[in-house]
Amino acid sequence: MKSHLELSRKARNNINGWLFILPLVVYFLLFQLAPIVLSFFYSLTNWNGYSDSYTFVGLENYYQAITNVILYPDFWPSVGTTFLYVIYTVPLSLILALVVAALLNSKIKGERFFKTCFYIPSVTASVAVSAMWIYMLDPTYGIVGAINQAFGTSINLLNSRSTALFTLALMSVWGGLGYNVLIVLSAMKNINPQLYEACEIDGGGAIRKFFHVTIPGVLPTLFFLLITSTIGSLQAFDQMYLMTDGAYGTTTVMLEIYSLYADHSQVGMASAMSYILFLFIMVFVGIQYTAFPQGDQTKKNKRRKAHGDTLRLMLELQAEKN
Amino acid sequence: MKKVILPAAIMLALVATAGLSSCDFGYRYTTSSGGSGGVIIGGDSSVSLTGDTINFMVYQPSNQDDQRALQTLISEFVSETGISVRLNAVPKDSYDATFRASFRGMFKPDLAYMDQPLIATYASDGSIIAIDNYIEEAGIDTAIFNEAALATNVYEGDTYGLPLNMTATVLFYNKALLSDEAAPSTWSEWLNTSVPADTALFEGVGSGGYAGWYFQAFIENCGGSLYNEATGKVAFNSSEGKEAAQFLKDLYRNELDFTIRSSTNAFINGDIVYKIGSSFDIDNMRAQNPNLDLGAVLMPSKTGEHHYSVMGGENLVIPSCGENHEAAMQLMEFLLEEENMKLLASFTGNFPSITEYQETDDPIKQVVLDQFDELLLRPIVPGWMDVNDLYLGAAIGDILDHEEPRDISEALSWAEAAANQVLQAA
Repeated sequence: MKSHLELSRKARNNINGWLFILPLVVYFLLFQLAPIVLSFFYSLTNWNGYSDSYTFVGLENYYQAITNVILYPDFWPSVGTTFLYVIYTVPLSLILALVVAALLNSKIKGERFFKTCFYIPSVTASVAVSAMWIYMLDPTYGIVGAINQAFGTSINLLNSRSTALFTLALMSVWGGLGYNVLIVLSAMKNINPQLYEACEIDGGGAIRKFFHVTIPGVLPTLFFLLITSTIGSLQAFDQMYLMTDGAYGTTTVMLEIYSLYADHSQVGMASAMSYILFLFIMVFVGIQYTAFPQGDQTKKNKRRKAHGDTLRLMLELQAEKN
Repeated sequence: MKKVILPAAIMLALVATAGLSSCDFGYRYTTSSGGSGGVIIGGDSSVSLTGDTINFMVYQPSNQDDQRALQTLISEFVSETGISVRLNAVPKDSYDATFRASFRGMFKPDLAYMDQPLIATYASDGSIIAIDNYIEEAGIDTAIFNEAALATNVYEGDTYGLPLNMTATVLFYNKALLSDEAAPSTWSEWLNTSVPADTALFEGVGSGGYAGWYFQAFIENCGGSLYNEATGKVAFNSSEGKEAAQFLKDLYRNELDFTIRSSTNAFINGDIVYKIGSSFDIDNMRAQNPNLDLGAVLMPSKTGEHHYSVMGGENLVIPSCGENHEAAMQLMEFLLEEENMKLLASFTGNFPSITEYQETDDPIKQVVLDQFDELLLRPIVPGWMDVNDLYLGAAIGDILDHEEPRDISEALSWAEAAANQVLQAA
């Protein structure tokens, strides 16, 4: 009877558990999984997004996107632009986040004030941020315009191939800095103070503490930021859309996809390009997983897992013998 | 207790605010929110309703007064006919994407605005219906429409819509920088305009859609043609095409012009002599700079003999996904009445497409009206928007690039090859 009651309680717990996660499951199925599956299907068709009919074209869209430089001349350049954008933004945003977080962690006065200041761009709408930057960078009327007038220069950052993408990258780094700083800072606060004391006893100064205690301590967090920043940068869209409309070498893959989908009804091709971008992201993340250090904690986990596996194997062998 | 009262008060305030904002105090008929489907006019009316509700998809007027005027206009239709209308007003920039999405949505449009060059694309795949029979039954005299505007609705001999409003591009100039007597009629006069120091000659044609749209006037104004109807192919890389592109490039002049041109609202702020634009730009420019002394002339040409300009505007179409074509046709007829047509045209700054209704006291808008005598139609072929935006416009943008300009012949040749591939596939 007791066992039956326990079972039914288990079942009830299961049901309750499922009910709790039901909204998220429904959300995931409807708004994440379904679009993923559907867009893969569309990528194999020539559907225009509104007609009742379409033709199944297999991998033709993928082939055309990759090889037809007459009809899709912007695809490969947009891939190059996106990679360049990743190179500009990811290292810079991580290094700056680390430096700023270290400064804030050094018990300076007004830590809260600075944290708020750094975080404000992250909670401001990208449209408002873009409008502000457009005005500031205007070669005639903004701050840059004032510099041009005062010094007789012709700085025109958003309207030049050599500077437009880097300018957008700097904006992106500035916009995301607050979030990154908070994440890194919270990781720094979790580092055991005894490690710093031990370093001091060994004669380590501020620099040594930073490189031998702080960085190893936040390495798993930095790795997390590396992955998320890379994915975010590979999907860069809004600043290019709002500020340059893809001109002067700022057309990213996402902008190209959006243009084909929203302006030119090429849903099949846009979906195919989305999956090509997805493959690029997987490759990037895969390289990062294998090539970059993930911190002591992750290594320990791996060792523990390996040790656990060995122990389990030994126990299984023992059981077989018995 | 305090902990409960404060959130409850906030919630109550939010609910009250939401409730008040959804009320509509100024209308004769109650309107109700139709969710993503827009506002239903006549949904709770005192007049006798037929039970029909049609979905009308329209460009959203840019200001609230015009939005109210639109709703009042539709409520008059509801009053006259007893047909309820779900009004789905969508900003122009996202209109086409929303229109396409609506085919799969809950509120499929029965009547819709449509940009002129899209007619052939939607007609060719059956997404809009031919309305010749409805026009005949309703006894609409199509001869009263501007011939060119009406022609934008005809695809392979059938009529797929009726023109609601129209405009044309003209050359604006700043009278503070150029006297009326010096306003150009030919390309050489335009190019050799005496320009004050620290001022750019020409705002430019941009890239993408607008560049493609404007370029048609340039190529035809030096004796060429964008599209050969007999062969069904484009001919961008003709000698006239190259000459027109070279002329545009010459208008772009130098680095100083580029710096000025890339500044926001440079023409409106008085830093540029010339700008190409249409009637819908006039009120906007004046609103942004009331001191701007605007002048306008017909589009200059190579010889001054012709002054061709490209037409723009919206048509009314009946999407095939709609369920009530007859009621949609009734609304179309209502909107084509003189006062209604003038009102709708005023929202976009264009002119009604019925010739008799086209009038203005404004000398600048009169130039646009004069330009209607030499209008160019964009080729009425499926996929033209792709050709215009993705290839022709992009090629012009590449040619006019100030850092790495692409060779004219190479760029036009590429655009021609791509366009012909698209047209062949379509």
